Amino acid sequence: MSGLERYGVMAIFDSPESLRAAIRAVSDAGCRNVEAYTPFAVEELDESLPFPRSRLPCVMLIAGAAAMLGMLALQYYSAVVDYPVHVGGRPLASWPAFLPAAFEVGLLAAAVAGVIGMFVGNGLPRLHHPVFDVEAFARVSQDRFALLVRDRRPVDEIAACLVGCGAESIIEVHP
Amino acid sequence: MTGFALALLFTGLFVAGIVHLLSTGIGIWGNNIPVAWAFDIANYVWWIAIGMAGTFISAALHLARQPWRAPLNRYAETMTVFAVSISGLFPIFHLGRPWFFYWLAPYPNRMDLWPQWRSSLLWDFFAIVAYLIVSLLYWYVGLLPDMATLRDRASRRWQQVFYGLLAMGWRGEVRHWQRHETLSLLLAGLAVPLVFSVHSMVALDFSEGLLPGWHSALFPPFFVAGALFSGFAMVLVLIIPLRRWYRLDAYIRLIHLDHLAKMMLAAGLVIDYSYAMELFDDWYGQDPYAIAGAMAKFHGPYAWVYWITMACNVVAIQPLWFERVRNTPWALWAVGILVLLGMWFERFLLIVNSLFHDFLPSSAGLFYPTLWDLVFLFGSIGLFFLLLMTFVRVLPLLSMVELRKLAHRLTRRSA
Amino acid sequence: MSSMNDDSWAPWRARLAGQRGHRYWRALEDLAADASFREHVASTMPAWSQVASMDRRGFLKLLGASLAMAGLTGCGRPPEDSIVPWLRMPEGQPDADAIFYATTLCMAGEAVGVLVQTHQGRPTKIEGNPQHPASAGATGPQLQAAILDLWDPDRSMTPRRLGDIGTWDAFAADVGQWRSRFASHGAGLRILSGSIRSPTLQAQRKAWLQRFPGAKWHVHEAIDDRQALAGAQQAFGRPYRCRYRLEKADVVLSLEADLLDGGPAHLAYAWGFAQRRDPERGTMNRLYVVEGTPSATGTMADHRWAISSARIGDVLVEVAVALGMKGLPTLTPSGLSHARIAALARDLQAHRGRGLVVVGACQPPHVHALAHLVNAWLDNAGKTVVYISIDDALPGLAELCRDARAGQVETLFILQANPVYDAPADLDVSASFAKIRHTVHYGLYRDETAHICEWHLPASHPLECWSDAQSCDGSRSIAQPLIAPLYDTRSPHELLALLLGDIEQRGQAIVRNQWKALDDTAWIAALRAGVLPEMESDEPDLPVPADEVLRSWPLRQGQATELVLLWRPDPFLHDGTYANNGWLQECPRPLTQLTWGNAALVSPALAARRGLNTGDLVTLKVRGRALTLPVWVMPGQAESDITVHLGYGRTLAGRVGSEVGASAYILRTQDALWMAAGLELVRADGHVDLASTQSHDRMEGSESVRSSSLTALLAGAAMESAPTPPSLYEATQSGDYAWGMTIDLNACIGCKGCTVACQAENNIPVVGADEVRRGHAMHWIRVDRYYAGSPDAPETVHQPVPCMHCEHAPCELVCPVGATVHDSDGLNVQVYNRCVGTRFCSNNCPYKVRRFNFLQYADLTTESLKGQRNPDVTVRNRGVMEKCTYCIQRIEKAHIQADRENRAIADGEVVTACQAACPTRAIQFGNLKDSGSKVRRTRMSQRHYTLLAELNTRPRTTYLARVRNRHPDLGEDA
Repeated sequence: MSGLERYGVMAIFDSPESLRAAIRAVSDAGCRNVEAYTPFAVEELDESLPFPRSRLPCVMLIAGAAAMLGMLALQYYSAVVDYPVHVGGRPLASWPAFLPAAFEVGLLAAAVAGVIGMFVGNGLPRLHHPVFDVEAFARVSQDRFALLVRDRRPVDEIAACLVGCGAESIIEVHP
Repeated sequence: MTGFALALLFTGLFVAGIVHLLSTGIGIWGNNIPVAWAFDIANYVWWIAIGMAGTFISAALHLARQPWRAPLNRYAETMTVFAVSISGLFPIFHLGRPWFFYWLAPYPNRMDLWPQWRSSLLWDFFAIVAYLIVSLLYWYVGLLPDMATLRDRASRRWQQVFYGLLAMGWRGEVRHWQRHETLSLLLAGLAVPLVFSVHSMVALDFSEGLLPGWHSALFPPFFVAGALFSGFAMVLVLIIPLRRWYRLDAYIRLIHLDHLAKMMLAAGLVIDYSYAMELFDDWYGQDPYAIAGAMAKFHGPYAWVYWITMACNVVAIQPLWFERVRNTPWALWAVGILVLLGMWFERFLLIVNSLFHDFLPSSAGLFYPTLWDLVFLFGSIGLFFLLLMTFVRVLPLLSMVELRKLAHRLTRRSA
Repeated sequence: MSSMNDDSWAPWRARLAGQRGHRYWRALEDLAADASFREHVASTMPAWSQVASMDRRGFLKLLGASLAMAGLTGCGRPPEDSIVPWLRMPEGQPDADAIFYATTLCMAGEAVGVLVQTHQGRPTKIEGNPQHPASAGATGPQLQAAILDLWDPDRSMTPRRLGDIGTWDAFAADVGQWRSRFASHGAGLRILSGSIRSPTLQAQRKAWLQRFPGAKWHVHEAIDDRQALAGAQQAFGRPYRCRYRLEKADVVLSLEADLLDGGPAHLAYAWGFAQRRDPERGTMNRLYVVEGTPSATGTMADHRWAISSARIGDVLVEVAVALGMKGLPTLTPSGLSHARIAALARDLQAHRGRGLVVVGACQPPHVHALAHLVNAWLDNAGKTVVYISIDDALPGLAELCRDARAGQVETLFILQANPVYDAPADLDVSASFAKIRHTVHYGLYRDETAHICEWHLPASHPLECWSDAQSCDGSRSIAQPLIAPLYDTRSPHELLALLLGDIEQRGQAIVRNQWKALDDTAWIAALRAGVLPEMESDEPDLPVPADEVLRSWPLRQGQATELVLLWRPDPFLHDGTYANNGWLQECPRPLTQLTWGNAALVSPALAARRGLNTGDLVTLKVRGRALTLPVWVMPGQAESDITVHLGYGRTLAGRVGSEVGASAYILRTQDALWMAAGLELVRADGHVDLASTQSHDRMEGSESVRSSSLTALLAGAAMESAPTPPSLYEATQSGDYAWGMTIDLNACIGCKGCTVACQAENNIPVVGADEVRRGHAMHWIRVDRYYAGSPDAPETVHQPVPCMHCEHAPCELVCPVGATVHDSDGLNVQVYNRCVGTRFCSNNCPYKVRRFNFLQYADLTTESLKGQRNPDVTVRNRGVMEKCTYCIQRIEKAHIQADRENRAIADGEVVTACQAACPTRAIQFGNLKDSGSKVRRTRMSQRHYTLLAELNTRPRTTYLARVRNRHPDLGEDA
């Protein structure tokens, strides 16, 4: 078999610590393209698998601010420009009264943008993925920890350094 | 099972009530002139307040890094979602022409008309919509990894499909987890100001009016506290039987009840303070109408409501000072029930006592509820329980992910 | 037709039995659909067979029930006779616009000239005719509601014989037989009618009596002034009717005379009185009222003293004594303090020739007689009171019943009277009428009397027929139809003509013939003006009263402590004639704010003694007759007096008026028509929730109604408590006009004319007793009634409250959809089709003038009622808020007219419905920006004040405070 029709090599571990060790091992071995799967967010992995800072916060901030300003603009336009009517002797542009709606809409927009951002960033929804073919991967959503190495080297080579870190099993993942 | 049947029955009543309302008009209720709002709005405020605690537990305590909340938040959020959805029904059905409720939204229309932005009802409309959507998202985002777990655990095909779809192909990549973590933190950060603003808006529904007893700057904080108060009460009232039936004592331990009780007590004390301040304002402001309103509380036609409120919201919570009470589930449950009762009556009093006799003596008039008023109150409660029971059957009552994290953290600490 | 009452009809009649009103028609339709019925019809009455085979619409059409006839043909069609629009019509209006016609309506014993507004031939609204002395431009509740009777779906639509549908031809045939039988003598031939106000009818009566010398014409009115006439008889030897000149009187003593809101001429009197109540223009008069049960006049009094109705006469005697008149009987004190009597006498003495003593129609004759003496003694006769000589009274109902029982009556025609319901109980009318061979009832409704008569004939509504009338003050006017009869009806004149054997003659010819003295131009002029120029102005003779009444002064029967029962006409239903009028039934009674029912008015003291509360059931027993009805605790009621109102408890009034309240006629007897001593009041078990629209009667420290004394006012006391508070916002109101209204509480007599006028103008629905009880009444302008002082002798004030049209309107601020907003003229407008019904606006309205359609109140199904609706005003549906609009449709009309002639709207050009109806001109409306406008001037008044000014809502509707002109010598003892 050749590495071409191989998606990657997966190792299953029973603890985050051994997963962490494995990550260090394969990166020492020079494998770059590695991916870890865990049943819950493990803070310790963050430094061992460094990623660029998420842009989620500023997406949400922009969306929220834009919506808030947009809402204010809409209220001003509708109440002063498009259809001005006298209400309760108040001025047409009653700014203080315009704030609450703008505030709520801003928060709403930020939240929606955040959720969408999270899904888009994670490439979800994606109902099928090669790793799902792995029998043992089912437990990664419960109590197991998986490491996927996507590298052209022969399996045995990768397996060697993974076994060292106490992998329960090592499986070839096919696309 | 009987509980389920009962909930189903009351939901049926609720539906019947809605059908009758839509076909006949809100004249089926006791509302009149001058008391144009009564049960309808009382129910609304009561329900939306119950929602508050859920958001507070899952968001505020999340920000405050209170790990003990982990077992509570899923169920608390769920409670929020249902309570808010139900509360959202009342502002719609209380309208004279409910089928036009969407006229409150700014949308391009042939008449080129816009909403009237100065009305607190409009602010509230936006608040409810935002609150409902955000708490739904927050709830679902938290639910996502658990969906994956259920999907992978599922033995039957339909379950795999059902949960699979809900899980959206979640596979627990570390990168995903990071985004997920950031998002839930940020959502929590949004939810907290949101929920505070929502209850302030609800308060403004009244204090924008010039009626004695409504026109008060005290209302927004008062309503926020009230919301926490009744919210925690509902959390207790529901969780105590649940942890019994589903044997969750291991997860939801006495310490949790104790915390909840403490927070209920705290919120309660703020409320009691507000009661005192209301009276003080009336006295200090020396506005004859306000004073008349205050007097009406003590010995007006609705004085009995006032005294029930006092008994429930002031007296009944005092035992919570004692640890033994806080660690006695049935006692907490009883207090919770009383508080819920008291808070409903408080809202009712707040609305009706100000309306039935405002400025001109000639326009005074009493409110008498009709059977349909009761149908809408108890029907909505039925619906709430129906939703909750269905939820408990199909979705995880506790957040598995949170619990895993908690367990992991504990083992590491012990190691 | 006669075949319709053989037994073969029994099964179907049985199926119709007990079906009334709406259900009745449905039942008929069912019958029409019934195959067996059809063939039966075919067999018995070929002519009718196609009727039965017709579809619903056709069947109803033939019954004259559906608007397919009434509306489309009736409404569309002006009467064939040429009728003449009102004189002051603006020229060149498009057809779509309203046209006014002047005509005359007889309501509650008075003929009043009115202007009727028609839209495309449909009479929709009634206004007063300024040129007619009995109206002087005003109307009041009953006249306002008359338009509803025209369109009432319960009106009788076809002749009936023994309950079956008949035809006028069949009736004419019967009449033919009878006439031939009566040949010339006519003994046993009788007519019973209400009091005759029409000269034409008078003439026809004479003609009829000539034709049948042996016949008799009886007159029956349940409520009349026969005791006053008897009093005049005693004093002058012949009947005179008094006419008072209130505008000339400085001091008025009313002894139970409800001048302002009861009795025929009340509209004219109210205006005369109001002219003397503006302290800033001319001297104010002083009104003393002594009465047993509160009346509108009493509430307007400067001094109101409650004395049992039985002792009013004694009071007058004491006054006469104090005036120094001789030969008066000596009696036990009436209970009125000496100081009061003395002050009163001094006042009258000081204003000789400018004072006035009036006695109510309910008082016994000898009191009236003494009043005539006093007025003569004070030299008031001929100045503030003039005497109009009238014909001797016609035989009454009593004679008729006597003759009937004696079998002397063979054929009886009952014209627009309902004795079976409203005759004194001891006459036992139905029993005596049963002895009469042929009875014919002619009236607007198939009422109680109609059901015991052989024939029932449907009457045309006054707005459908030609007639004429003479008012109490002698002024005469023609009545012209506004619309061809909606149903197969005849006018009374046409009926009389028919009885005289003239089948051809039509109403117009008959009336015109009566006035042949007028040439055509004069005739047209009379029709245009709505009143005839005074023919010969004969000096009113000044009869001299004889004083033998003093020698035959009856000693008061009964002890002071015993209870007295008083009967009073209902302020709206009168004697029950108008019972089927929803507007009147639902209009809160001026003093009780009661709707849909009557009660026994009991004094607070008596109620306290007997432990009675409002709504508790009591049984009134007088002379072996008993009646059970709820109690109403009435502040200001004399302790020993208990009042019941007539006009309720109708059994066959129609779908609105039947079974409402209890009939007080059950207790009424010939010798005690207005007052019965020796009343027993027994508590019955049970409590009734009376449908009253106002639960709180006291001002409870609020300053909603302000009042002052004349002296304080002259001393310069201003009524406005505080200047308008400052505002954060600059004025936004931009238009050319600033509409505003002021209401003068010193003029408002609380008659509720404004309320009904508003209802008529603005298509305001009737909601029914239950909804009123639930606080769902819909009136746009309510008249609040407040008491001040002790419950036994309270000061009563009326306060009309329409929308205030606040410049800083709290309602507008809180509406999320902008359904209530301000227009450029400063009107607070309500946009019905934008309203979603949050009701926050009502909650936030400090005046609570907004009304909400909690259910579908507007009747969209009853066809005939649609004819009355004002096409310029939306009919609101369920779920929307509504309120007073300042009659914006009228403002807009004026706008358009003014723009057409490109000029500004003149002051007084826009008159709101309430303003137009008000008998005392208490309401002023106009442009506040126009410095010359009346409303602007009233705002300058010293009495001007704003309701709840402290809220800074800046209302456009403001008030003029009440002023009482007390006698200086009566300090505390006022």
